[in-house]
Amino acid sequence: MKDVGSRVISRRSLLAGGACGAVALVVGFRLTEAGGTARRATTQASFQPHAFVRITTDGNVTAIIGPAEMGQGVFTALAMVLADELDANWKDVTAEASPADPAYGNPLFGGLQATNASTSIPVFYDSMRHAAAAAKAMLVSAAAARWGVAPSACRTSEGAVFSPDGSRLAYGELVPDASKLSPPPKEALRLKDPSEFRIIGRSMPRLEGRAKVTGRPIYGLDVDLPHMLTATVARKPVPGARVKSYRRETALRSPGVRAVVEIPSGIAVVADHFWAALQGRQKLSVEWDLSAAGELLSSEEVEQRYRALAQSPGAVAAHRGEPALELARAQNVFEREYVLPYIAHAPMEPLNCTVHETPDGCDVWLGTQYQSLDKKVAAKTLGVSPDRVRIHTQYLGGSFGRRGSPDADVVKETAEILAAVRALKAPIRNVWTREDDIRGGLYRPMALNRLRASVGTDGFPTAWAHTIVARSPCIDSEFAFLVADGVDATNVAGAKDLPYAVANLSVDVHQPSFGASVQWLRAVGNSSTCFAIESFIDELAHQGGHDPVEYRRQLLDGDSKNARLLQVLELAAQAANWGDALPTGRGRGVAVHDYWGTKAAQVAEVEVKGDQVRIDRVTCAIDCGLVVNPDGVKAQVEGAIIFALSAALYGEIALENGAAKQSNFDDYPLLRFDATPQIDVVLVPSKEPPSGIGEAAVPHAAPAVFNAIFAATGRRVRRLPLIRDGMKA
Amino acid sequence: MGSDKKLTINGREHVVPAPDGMPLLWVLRDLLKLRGTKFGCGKALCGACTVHLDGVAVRSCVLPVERAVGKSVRTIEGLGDERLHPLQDAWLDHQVSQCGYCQSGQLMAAASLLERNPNPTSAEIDAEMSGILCRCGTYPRIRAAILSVAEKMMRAAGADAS
Repeated sequence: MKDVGSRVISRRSLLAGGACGAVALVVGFRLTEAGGTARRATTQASFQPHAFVRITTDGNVTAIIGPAEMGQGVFTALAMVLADELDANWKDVTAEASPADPAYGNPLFGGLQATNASTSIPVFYDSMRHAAAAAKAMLVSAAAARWGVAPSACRTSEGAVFSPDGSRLAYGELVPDASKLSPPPKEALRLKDPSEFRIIGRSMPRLEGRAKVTGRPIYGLDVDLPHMLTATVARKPVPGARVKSYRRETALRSPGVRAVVEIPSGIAVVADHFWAALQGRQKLSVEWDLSAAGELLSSEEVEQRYRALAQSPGAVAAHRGEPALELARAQNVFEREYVLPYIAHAPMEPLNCTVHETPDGCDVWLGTQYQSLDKKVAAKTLGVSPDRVRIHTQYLGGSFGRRGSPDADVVKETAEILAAVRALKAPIRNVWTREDDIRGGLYRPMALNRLRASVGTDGFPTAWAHTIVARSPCIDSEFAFLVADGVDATNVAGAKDLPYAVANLSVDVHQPSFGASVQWLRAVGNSSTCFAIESFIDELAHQGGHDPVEYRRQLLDGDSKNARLLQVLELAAQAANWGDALPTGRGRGVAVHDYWGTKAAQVAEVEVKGDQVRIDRVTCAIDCGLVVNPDGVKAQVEGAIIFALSAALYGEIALENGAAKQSNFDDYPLLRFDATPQIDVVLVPSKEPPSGIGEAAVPHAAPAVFNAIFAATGRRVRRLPLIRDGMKA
Repeated sequence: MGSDKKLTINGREHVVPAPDGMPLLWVLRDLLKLRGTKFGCGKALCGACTVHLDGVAVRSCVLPVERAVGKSVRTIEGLGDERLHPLQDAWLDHQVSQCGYCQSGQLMAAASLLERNPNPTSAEIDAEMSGILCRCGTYPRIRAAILSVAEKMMRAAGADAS
């Protein structure tokens, strides 16, 4: 793993070095007094032996979390990991967002501070434990020195060190002494055996739960600074559009409007508050010149081109045996196409960012999945050095990938507005409307999957060829390190590692650059590949007269690396009463998929009356390795299924002349309360290393539901969303 | 234009210079700095901005401020007092919130429902709560939380009666 640096986050570093943890842990003491010196360390009120933990003399333990809290529960889960290894008292523990600093870099993402692909727990589980173990060792050493006993003779429990004779020193009391010690090397640390865990594996309430039910202002949009002005932008309808004309003076005369400025993304109206800015924006009457905007395609045109591309092989992602030969000579060859449209992330909190310049740099407040880039982009746009940019990560009112844009679009735009209105000397809050968000032009890639399989007389596949066409969010972006040999790993995930036993296999991908701009959306390319594969395998099962669960079981069996996948398939089928007879018009469908190490199977049960589909129940069995917070995992699975059902039933951004037709929740509907099925979650107990959970239950829901519709009606839908097929849900 | 509006919010009187037509949401958020009420769509489609107007749940993003004058406005900041509202407690018991952004609206809608109808049927809960979108998918827990409070209220009412 890459050493991401041994910088100190406090300006006043006393010690340096990446002694502990796989990610180089920042080592340094954060002094509460300005101008503190090494000698004054003994009087300090807090002890921060690592980037990840701060302990104060009053005994408060703060977990300092690099990944963003966007609802997935990472603050609570990582704080639990820290508290357990530290033997802290849970009631003393809080969590806070870290600054943007390489110490919090994600080694799976090139050391960037990014909250992506459900990697936070897998990446930081070990480092958090090492940080806690080091802090605990220092506290124990400090206590042992006071008592004149060996550290090994002491024990820790509930936020205190105990001597062999039962004397007790609380962690807070030990902070001044512990601060003078050096963290032990990683090799000297003894981590708990899982049998000693007392917090990990228990369901803990989320730390910020109370703030979220009392309306505390914790989101980016809630940021309020003295003299702050609010901006909103009349944005270009398509990339490359130019301003032809607009009524600047009319907008300027609108009450509360302070400035109207052209910026690269459009025309910004800056006003005393959001409503005034919006009123001003409506008076702009902008006319756009689209002559330089290049091809303005419709979704249908993009799809037709995708279909043409799929006729020839793309960049090779996986190849074994002789798939072409086998497909050419086989008697029974099936070919199907599965299409997923562009969809918008549509987090409930519209995009926003606040930037303030100060004599010594600038401050940026926002909910973000990508602090490293925000910092870089703000620095570049405002012409300040990156080490003078302070990113204040707020709680995210949802994100699902949108606040991790590879060009930090919202930060860039806000900084550009600020640069254009510097004379006003005011902090600028930039607020997008819902329409701006839905039309914001960064969507889950449209994807066309062409699948071919030859089957033997037993109905099982002898060759499998999967061609994917989807624009890559990674090529030519900050995430280009995820592209190898022309293949974006996130576009082919789930397809190139097909778990089913097929002797001859090819998986290839075309990644054209036309059509809408794209960005990862919760569960990345797996939403597409899982829909295609789990629909196609279902078709093959029915074609050969096989039970869909039994068919998958046979195709997974016999390969020991499929053991966990098989187990979730069995558990989901069992919990959903697979095989029990259902009345006419009802059906069950199954899907099984491995999302970047987390294995899950889902069974959907639906009722179809005419064209009306009602999803009654979705059962999910899931194995994400060691479970840190069981109730948190269940909540993620419930939420992932509901998120995926919105896409399966309704989600589509359709392009017309290059721009999105949809604009708000009336024409871009989401699943509502009354259409929500019963959801049952089976968690598999596991001692395997923890894998991610934020996205892992997303890919299965669409194919499970569509397979259930087939089981109920004989009607096979190969395109999302369902309502496009003339059905209602 | 910027005429002063007298508003009663969470039992307190405020005089605020707000133009006619400005939605109550932005008066609350930007002028009175009560930022618990959320902006989600601006068109009464998502319900994140739900507040009570004389006890009835309304979408503040499309309610012109002048229509709130002379009425009692209650926001998430006024849902509980020193203690949490029973629904807020139930929200914590059931760990409803994920990102949390829509939860002010969810709670205000649920509170309005139970105040009018302490023993709602499943269909009545559907009717009230389907107006509030949650992108994180917390609906099953919202239902469980509302039912638990309704059950407690009915039990308490039963105990009073006996």
